[in-house]
Amino acid sequence: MNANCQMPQSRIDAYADGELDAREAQVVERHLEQCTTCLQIVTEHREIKELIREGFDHLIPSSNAKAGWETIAAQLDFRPSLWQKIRSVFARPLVWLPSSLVAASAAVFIFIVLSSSDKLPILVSQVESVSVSSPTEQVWVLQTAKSRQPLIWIQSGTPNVTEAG
Amino acid sequence: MLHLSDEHLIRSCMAGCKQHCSLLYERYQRFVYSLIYTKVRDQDLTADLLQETFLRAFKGLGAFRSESSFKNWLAKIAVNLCKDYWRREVRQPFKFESLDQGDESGPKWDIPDEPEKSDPSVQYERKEMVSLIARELGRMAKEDQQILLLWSEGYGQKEIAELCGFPQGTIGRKIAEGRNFLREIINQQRLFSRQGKRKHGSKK
Repeated sequence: MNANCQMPQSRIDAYADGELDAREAQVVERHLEQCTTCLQIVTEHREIKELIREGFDHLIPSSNAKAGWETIAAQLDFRPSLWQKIRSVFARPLVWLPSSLVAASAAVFIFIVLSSSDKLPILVSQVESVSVSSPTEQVWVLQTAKSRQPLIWIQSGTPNVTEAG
Repeated sequence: MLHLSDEHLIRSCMAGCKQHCSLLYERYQRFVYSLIYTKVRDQDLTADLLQETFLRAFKGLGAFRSESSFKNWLAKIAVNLCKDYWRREVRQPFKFESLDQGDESGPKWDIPDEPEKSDPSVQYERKEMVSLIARELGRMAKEDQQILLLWSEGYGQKEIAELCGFPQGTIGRKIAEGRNFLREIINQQRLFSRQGKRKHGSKK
C-alpha cells in the first residue's frame, strides 16, 4: 500500500473507464507503475465490470437467437438497391485510393496547363489587328479574327507572335 | 476464426450479404437483448423488440454513420423502440422512475436460487460470486441496471447520458454508487469465503 498516494481516486476511476484523454492517461499510467494501491483500484474496476456482465448473463433469460435471426431474415430483402450497390463500391478503400490518385493527377495536369498558358504562342493568322497602346510599348491590344474579342497584353517584352504554318 | 470488423460486415450487408448480416446479429444480439430486457422485463416483448431493433438497423444501414459505433447505433434504436412501446402500449409518457426511489411497481426479476456452498473449487466460487452479483443487480431499479449494463459494456458517461436521458453528472454519480456497492458485496463475499475455508481447514 502506498500511504502517500496523492492521486485523486476520481482520476483513477476516470482512467479505468477510458474517460481521460491520451495525455492525462499517460500521467496516470506512469503513476500506476509506482502505486500498487491505484493499480489495484484499476484491476478491481475491470473485475467488477466483468462480474456485472456475467451477472446480467446469469440474470437475464437467454433468448432463442437462432429463431430470432430466422424471423428477421425472412423479413429482409437482401437484394441491394442500385444506390446501396454504388455506396458499397465506393465505400471500399481499394476503389477510393486509385480514384483519388487519378483525380489528383488530373488536377495537377490542368494546373500545369493553365499556369503555362501565357507561354503559348499567338498565331498570326488568328490576329486581325495589333495596336500598341502605351508609350513604353508594354501594353498591346490584339483582336482575334474569329471571336473579334480584344485581348490586352501586358508584358515587359513584345508578345510571342509566330508565323502560322 | 478470422475476426471481421463491423465496418466490413456493414459494407457486405449493404451489398446484400445475408451471412454477414447474420454475423452482426450474432455479435450484438445478446447485448441488445439485455439492454431491452432491463427496460421491459418481459421475455416475449424483449424478443419482439429485439427483432424490430435489428430489422430497423438492417433496413436503415444507409443512414448509419461510422463516426458512432454500430453497437451504439443499435443501442439507440433499441432505447427509442422501448420508448415508443411505452408511449403506444402503456399510453403514458415514457419516463424513468426517480433514480433514488427504485422501481417497486415494475415486474420483478426472476432471481436465481442461490447455489449450494459445498463445492470448494475456484470455479464454483466464481459462479457463486456471479450469482450474488446477479441477485444484487436484480434488486436494483431499472435505470440503475441499464446504466451499469452500459458501463460494464465499455460505454462512456457521455454516451450513457445520451442513451438514458440523464445529465452526465447523474450518470457519473450512479456509476460510482453502483460500483462501490458491488465492490463491498464482492469484498464481503471473499471474506466470507476465506472464513469458510479456514473453518473447513480447521475441521480437518
